[in-house]
Amino acid sequence: MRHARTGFNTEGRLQGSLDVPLGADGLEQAELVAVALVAAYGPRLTVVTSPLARASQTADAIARLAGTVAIADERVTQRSYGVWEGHTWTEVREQWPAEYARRHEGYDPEITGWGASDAVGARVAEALVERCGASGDDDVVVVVSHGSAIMLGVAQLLGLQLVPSRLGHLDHGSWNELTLTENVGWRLTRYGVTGD
Amino acid sequence: MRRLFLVRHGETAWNVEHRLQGASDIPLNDNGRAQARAAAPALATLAPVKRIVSSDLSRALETAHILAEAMGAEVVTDARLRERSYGVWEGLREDVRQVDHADEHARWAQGLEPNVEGYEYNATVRDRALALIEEITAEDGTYVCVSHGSTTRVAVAALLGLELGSRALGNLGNAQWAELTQVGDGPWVLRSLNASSLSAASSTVDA
Repeated sequence: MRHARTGFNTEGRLQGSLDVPLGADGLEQAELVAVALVAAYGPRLTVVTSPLARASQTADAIARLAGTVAIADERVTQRSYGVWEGHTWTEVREQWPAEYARRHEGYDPEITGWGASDAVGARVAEALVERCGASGDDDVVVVVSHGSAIMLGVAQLLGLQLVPSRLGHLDHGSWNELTLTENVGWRLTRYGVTGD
Repeated sequence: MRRLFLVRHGETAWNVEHRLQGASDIPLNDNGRAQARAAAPALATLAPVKRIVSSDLSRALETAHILAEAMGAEVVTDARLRERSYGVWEGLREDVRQVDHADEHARWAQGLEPNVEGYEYNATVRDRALALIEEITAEDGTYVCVSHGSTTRVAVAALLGLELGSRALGNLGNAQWAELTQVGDGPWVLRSLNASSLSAASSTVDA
């Protein structure tokens, strides 16, 4: 699941590893999403979250409803946007036109501190494999993470090309559903479910 | 930008009985019609098209007409959106195939293609479905196709660059859809899959 929206999201500012908390509307969205998720999957959930506040606050809303506590996992944190963090896309386009164009075409820009797609995909996939592998049959594990991190981790698990992405951006508070079975392995059963 | 919605037909009696349909022409049941009616407003909002292209098999065609009514669209049929033919397996439940066609069922269960008479291979299904998709999406715009579980899975896998036999994508549920977009000559991107019905999230999507 992608975290609920923050003030930076509304302003169109890149967050990456910046720890921007949810505002009042984000907290409200998290509550709605938690209700939708529990309605869809029942209250018996294991909740794992990125340690960044916008994710952990979303995860806490779900965990409260499920009567559990969210577990933080650094591996599902957002990709770093390096020197672009805190800027709007308009500012990025003006100040880094060549690298913006590269990013716009779906490729990794060559800027200081950028989290490379293959590294991000690998760490998120590793966390999903480990967290879901440790769960029992019919268990539901909810992982609250971030736009790019989710796309890359899911693409890595499914064997989809990472760059340019073949998966579209998720709305805030929306989720994907993957199932893991012995016979088939990982399978994407839903993508882009909107909870609010 | 091109936006493509691939919709699976509503439920049929054979879906309920878990019998493979393939090219067999099995009509919607009442629940299937209700599923199509329930899906129509959301799809009409997302994809207000003037024309729906549908498989000519009646379960798809009736679904398309129900959806089209909500959009004020016309329906045209194209056999390239038909379900994969399962040949002599059509009408058979999995437990029957497992007993009567043990070797081929074992191949199929491993994700390989069965060698049974009349079975239509992945590459053939891809070729016909993609030919239709390329034809109708020649220009930017929004397009809606009503088709079938296996054919849409093969088409989506092909559009996303997955192996055709890949099991990485779940089947569409009845009256559910996949949305894909393409900008210019760029790659097709998956926007949503089985995402329209929250209440259905608690039920297993038929694999």
